[in-house]
Amino acid sequence: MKYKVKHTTHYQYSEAVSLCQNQARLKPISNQRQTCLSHCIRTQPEADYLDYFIDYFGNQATVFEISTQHDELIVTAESEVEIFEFRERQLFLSEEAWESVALKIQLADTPELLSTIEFAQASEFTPVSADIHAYACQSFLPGRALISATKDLMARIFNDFQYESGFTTISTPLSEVFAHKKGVCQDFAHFALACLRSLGIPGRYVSGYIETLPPEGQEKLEGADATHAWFAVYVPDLGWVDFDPTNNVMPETQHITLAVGRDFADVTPLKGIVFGGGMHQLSVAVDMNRIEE
Amino acid sequence: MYYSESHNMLQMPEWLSEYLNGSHQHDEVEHHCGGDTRHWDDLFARLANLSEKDIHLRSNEIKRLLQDSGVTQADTQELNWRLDPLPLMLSEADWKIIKKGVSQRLKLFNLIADDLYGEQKLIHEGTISAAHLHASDEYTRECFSLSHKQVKVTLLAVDLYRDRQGQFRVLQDHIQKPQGLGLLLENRVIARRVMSDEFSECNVQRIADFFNRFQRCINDSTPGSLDPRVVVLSKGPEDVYYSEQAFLAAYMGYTLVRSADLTVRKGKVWLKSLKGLKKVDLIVRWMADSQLDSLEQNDYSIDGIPGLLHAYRSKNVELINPVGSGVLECPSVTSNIKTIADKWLQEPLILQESSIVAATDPAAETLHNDPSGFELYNYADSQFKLDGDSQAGQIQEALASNNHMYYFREKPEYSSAPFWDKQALVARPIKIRCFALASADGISVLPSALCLVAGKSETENWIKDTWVTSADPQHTSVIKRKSVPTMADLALLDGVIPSRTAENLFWLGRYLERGENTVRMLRLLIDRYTEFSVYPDSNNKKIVTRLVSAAVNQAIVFPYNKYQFVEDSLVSHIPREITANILCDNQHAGSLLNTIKALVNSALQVRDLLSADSWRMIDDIRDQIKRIERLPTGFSTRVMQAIADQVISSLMAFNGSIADVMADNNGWFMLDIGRRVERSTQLVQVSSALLTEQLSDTEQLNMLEAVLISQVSLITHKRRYRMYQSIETGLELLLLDAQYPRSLLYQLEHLDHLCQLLPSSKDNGRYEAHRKLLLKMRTLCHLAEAPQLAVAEQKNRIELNKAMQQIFQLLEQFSEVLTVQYFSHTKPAVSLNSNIGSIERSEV
Repeated sequence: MKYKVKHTTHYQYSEAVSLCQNQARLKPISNQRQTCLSHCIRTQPEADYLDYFIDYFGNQATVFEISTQHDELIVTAESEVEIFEFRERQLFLSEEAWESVALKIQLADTPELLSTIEFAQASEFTPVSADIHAYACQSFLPGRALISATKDLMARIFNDFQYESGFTTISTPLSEVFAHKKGVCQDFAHFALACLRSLGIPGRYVSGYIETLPPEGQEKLEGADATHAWFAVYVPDLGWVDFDPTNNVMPETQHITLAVGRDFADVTPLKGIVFGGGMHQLSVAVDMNRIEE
Repeated sequence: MYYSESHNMLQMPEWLSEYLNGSHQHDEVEHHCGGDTRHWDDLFARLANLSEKDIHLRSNEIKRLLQDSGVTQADTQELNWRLDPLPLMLSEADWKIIKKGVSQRLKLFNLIADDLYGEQKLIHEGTISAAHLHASDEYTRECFSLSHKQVKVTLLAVDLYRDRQGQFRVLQDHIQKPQGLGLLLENRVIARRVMSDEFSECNVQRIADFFNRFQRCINDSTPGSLDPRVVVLSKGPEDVYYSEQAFLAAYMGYTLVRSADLTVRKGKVWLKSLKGLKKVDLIVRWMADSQLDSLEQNDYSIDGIPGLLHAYRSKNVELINPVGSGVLECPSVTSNIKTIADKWLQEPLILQESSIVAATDPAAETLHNDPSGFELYNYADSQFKLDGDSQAGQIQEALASNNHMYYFREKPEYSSAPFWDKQALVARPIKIRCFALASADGISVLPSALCLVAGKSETENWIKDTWVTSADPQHTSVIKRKSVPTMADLALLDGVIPSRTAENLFWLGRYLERGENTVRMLRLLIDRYTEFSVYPDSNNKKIVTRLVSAAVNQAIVFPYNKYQFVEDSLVSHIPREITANILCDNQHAGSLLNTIKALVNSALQVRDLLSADSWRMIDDIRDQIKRIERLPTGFSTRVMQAIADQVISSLMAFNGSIADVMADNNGWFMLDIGRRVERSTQLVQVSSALLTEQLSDTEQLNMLEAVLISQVSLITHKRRYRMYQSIETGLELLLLDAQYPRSLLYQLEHLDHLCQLLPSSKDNGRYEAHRKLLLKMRTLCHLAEAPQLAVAEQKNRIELNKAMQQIFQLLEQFSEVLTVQYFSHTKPAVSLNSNIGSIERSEV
């Protein structure tokens, strides 16, 4: 499946900005699930400096600077991505119990296992608590296979938590998300990761896009697709397997991965420091269209 | 062998023998496990001639010198370093071990850094636990995306102590910020001055060469640039080590900056200087790894420079020490360094920590219940430490949750050394901080150390200079200056000063002038009302009333409000109270107290430009602030006058001390600009507050006299106009005389001259905005005639008032234009993060 994605971020400022410096993680990563065929970032006003580097987690970070005075900034990222057919059959090959995986991580001795250790550690956005551990344990029953337990956890989050945009912000602590059982995809991904990490299982945060389909008979609206976030769990011998608790699905061909990290802080799609600017308004629009079945 | 047993104590002065005869368990002089203590002989032989009083005098002399140098001062947190007159003596044998050990340690650190940010063999082979390392904040993931592997530690500071067996052991490493080098240097300068004879007798190893190497190493670190610009990045006066950083920067001739002075543009780092942006090639940073870049790094730091890491990544700037070197301070690394030395160098680690045992180790089981004699450390957190003797409960709590993150380390048993405290020598536990430098020519260790009192209070730190004796004669050449001027010297000549420094100089000038004016007004008020209370002459009444009114509504002191007559000012406002308010009211922005506080603050910001003599005056002013703050209520007028006298002498002395260094090309002219703006403002306001009302001839002359006194112009006026003195002559002298140094027009002409030193963006010969404003003001003065200004309608000098108000407004605009054009490159930065997540559940 091939997609063309257009991701537009629009900032409007109440006062003029004299200089802004930014880092974007808007180029879809290439991995075993997908390949990024082409990618470009445009800004308006035009950036007078643009460079990129590959970060610790393998994501491409784009660095740009705008020194033209402006009160509006538009960042447009366009990419073409091919998603490979999902090898679901392989999943059934892994019936490894979650305790055995946790133990492997604890006794890690291969470079691959060693590299997953930091994903099993609590992070700023995924603090581990006794409550969260208890919640996780209801899915992670003794002896249960890792994949089946994770599926169960995903389903419980989907059912127990209510999707409500605007209830949380990036600074809402996870404990509050848990207490009210409300939030957005980002909160659910963080919560699921905290659950996994409370058990010593490596999980990583995934930022990306999800394709939405219009109700039957209607035209798809422009900008209707969305930036999205979910998580992946590490399964020995298989690698990272994705789970989307917001939709209770295991991403197949409708999820495009942008970047991966320990939590949101590692993959923030666009961050910046502006000089001036006053108050700002932000709007994001994503268009994700199939160019080849 | 006890020192006291092998030496004839009768030859020692009493103050020394008393100490040596005391019962010391583990002392540097008296006894350390049978170690040789002969290296103290030369020192003691010299000191034998000194009486208790001599030592005391030297101790006081040191206190004074330290205070002058400013090293003992920090703005918010007072960190009082107390340098002891007696140095710590280290034998050549001891030094050999330390030198070898510290070199080995630095060599190891560089190998480890290379590996951890590269292949990670140490992790793959299991020497360092990934769980420990990855959990620590100092593990800098940003380093992995560097195109060049260059986490190469240049400067290492390591704290050592001598254990009971006489072995030196490692206490702690300082790599992100190897603090203390400036302090050590400063100590040596003072110790050499106070103990000059002893110093030369003892054949002490010199340290200047180390600093030369350091400087060479810095210059060599920027091979791509022929004219590298080096800056020393400090957090500013809030950092308790600020003075030290300023001292080091000044000594090495580098520009001291704060993060707001630097900006990243197009992947390069620039210094925001008065002359625009200047590229920076190397930053000696006194800031932690995690605080360097507020854009890229997750912990938003107000001290960060957005984009710095990418500039570093693009090899456009060098950092000393490099980003990521903090990982080497992590217990997960240091606790394994012994194994690494065995493995990689095939040699034993020379300087070891005291013995450690992992909390999960069966051998540590008894320690869980009784950790006395041990300290608990966290592999992932270099700041974490719990004392087994006083924090056993917390230790058990910590171990209950996650015991594989912790280990026990035996508590250090410090040796003691004699310190001169008040009247006698007292034994205090010590540690020594050693410094090493890795450069192209290999590793060199500074042949001295900062000797600090170990443990205890953070606010009062006793320090000693450390003398390493040598059998070889020392070179007598003091400090070998390089034959070529360093680039930093050129930078100073070239007038590249940060805009922030320029701004602080400008304000320093304003506060100096404002302080002076406030004192003069204070004196005038005191003088006039005391006279009035003794001779309640009706001629004087009007003048005193007006003066008091002008003081009450702050027309003649900052903030220079518009004059308003205050009904019955003499009845409702007790003049003594008004003067007391001008002196020390915290709420009054223009009180002398607030003015000199602001002055000290500005001076602190340009600490590195001030000489020791200037700094002494600032120090006096600090003392005066303390005295004013401690004044009891209802203090007498006499006390007020005494304080005013002291403040003004300090201000004058400060002015005198900077007169020589105020060369035009290094930014000092900004101070002069500030001073002249303030003086003009004040002349204008005083004239409009006190001279715009037409009075009877006698009253008028009395009032003029008061104003002339406040402007230190009475004598000139009398001499020049003798029997023709009138309001006209007064206005002529104070406002319109272009040659009289205290007149308004003179200030304006001078300002215009000074402004030509400011960099200009106009190359077509036209005036810049600020000079246009000056031209307006100068024109107003040049066109004005004193007799016309003196004309009054209904007792009111409308012309004078109008002119003064116009100039007042123009002066305000002038100050604003300067700020916008030359100072304010430092708008506050705002951090923006796009947020994921406003999607509806989609049906997939």
